[in-house]
This record gives sequence, structure tokens and C-alpha cells, in this order.
Amino acid sequence: MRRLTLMLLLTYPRGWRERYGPELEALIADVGLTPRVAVDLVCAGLRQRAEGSASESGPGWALGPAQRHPSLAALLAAMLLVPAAAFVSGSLLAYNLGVAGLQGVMQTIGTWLDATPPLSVLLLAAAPSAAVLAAVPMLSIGPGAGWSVHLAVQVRFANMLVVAAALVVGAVLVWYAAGEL
Amino acid sequence: MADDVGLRDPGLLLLISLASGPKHGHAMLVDIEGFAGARLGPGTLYGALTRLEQRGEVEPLAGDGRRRPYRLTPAGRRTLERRLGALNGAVRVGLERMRA
Repeated sequence: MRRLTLMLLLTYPRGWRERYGPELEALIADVGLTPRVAVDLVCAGLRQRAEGSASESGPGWALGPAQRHPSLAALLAAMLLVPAAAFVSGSLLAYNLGVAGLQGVMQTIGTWLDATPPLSVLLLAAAPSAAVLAAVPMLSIGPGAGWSVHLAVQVRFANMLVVAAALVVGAVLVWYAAGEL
Repeated sequence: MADDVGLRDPGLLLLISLASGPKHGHAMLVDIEGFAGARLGPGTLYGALTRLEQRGEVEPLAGDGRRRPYRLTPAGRRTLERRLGALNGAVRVGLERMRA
């Protein structure tokens, strides 16, 4: 039963668990873990998460691990973007700025990408995926008045930089793709 | 019974319970069920307790760590007096209108 109690307590934010977790666990041991108590715990835990998120960054719901680790999300997004950014930079240098040494390399990569459509799709998907991954930690979505939804943006420099880079890379890739059609 | 008398707010029930002296979680649940007929869940109780502690209306006392008692602060007592006063006023008006 203790293991199940601890699992249910995971619905609460970590800081809250550290402060009240042992007391709540003792209380559950006193009253017994019935289905009604389990539902009550999950509802209260989720409410606590919503309230915790609201007190930290305005009213909002946590959007998963990316929001708890914004810098890590920015780093992962940047890593996701590297191949697409390298391809775009190489293409710009080779074809738009006329760096002759790169043209052969880019032509080989282009032929390789044409022969393996899934890789082309991954390259195209990398930019929007990186933009979303970097942007999520800056967003706070939560309940507004009535049935409305409240959206707030908290600017984080590293995440903003990756989002901007992803948008530029994505725009250039779309431009290239449109030129191919 | 709690719903019958409009006592749905766990925070108010908790303040009323602590008005008779410090209690730990289980004692509060038993007490609230006794005077209001409301069976609060442990999650609901600790949610209300968290909000009251954040507002400085209750405070923890030294306990054995896992079963920590809480007591009303002066701010909590003032809040309880104000809320019960408002409730009492509504009850008085309701009763007078029933008699009229």
C-alpha cells in the first residue's frame, strides 16, 4: 500500500511533497487508502500543481518536463536543430555566396537526401520541432475566467534564441523546398 | 449534513476545527465529520491546510514529524470570526424571513 501511496503522491509538485508528503502519507496510513481517497489525492495533487504553477509564473498548468527544465529544453532543441542549420548554412555558402569548395559537398548531401526521402522529412521537421521544444518552457497556459484559457509568455533568452534560429532555418528550408517544386 | 448547511468550504471547516485547539490531520478529519458531517479526503484537507498556512492563518507545531499538529494564528482567528459573523448574519436574516 505504501508504494501505491507514494505513486499517488507523485501527482503533487516536488516542493510540496518535500514539505507535506510525510504528513500526508501518515494521514493516509491512518484513514486507509480506499478508491475514494485515491481519487481525492489525484484531484488535490493536480490542483496543487496548477496552483504552484500559478504562484511561480502566473496562472498556468505545467506543460511537462520541458517546462521544469527550460535550459535543458533549449539545449535539446539546439541539438535537434544543428543538422538542419548546418545544411542551410552550407547551402547558403555554396549556392548563394558561391563558395566553390562547398558546392561539391552540398551536391553530394543533396543527392543523398533526394535518395532517402525520410531523411529529407526529418530535416524539414527538425526546425518546427526545435521551435516548439524551445518555446514550451516560455508558455504558461491556464484557466481564465469562466471557460476561457489564459496564455502568458515568459521570455527566456536561451529559449528565445533557439526559437528565432529555428524559425530562420525553417523559413530557409521552406524556401528551398518551394524552389524544388 | 455539511452540504445541507452550506458548509462546503474545507478551509472554513478546518478553521472551525482548529478553533478548539491544535490538532493533527486525522484528528481534524474526525472532528470535522463530527460537527459538520463532512467526510473530507486527506488530499482535500492538506490542500486547504496548505492555502491556510500560505496565508498565515494556521501554523504547524513541533510534532513527531509525520503527524504534525497545526493551530490557528491570530490572523486565522480574525478570518474565522469574520466569516462566521457573515454566515451568522445570513442565518439570522433567513430565520427572520421564515418567521415573517
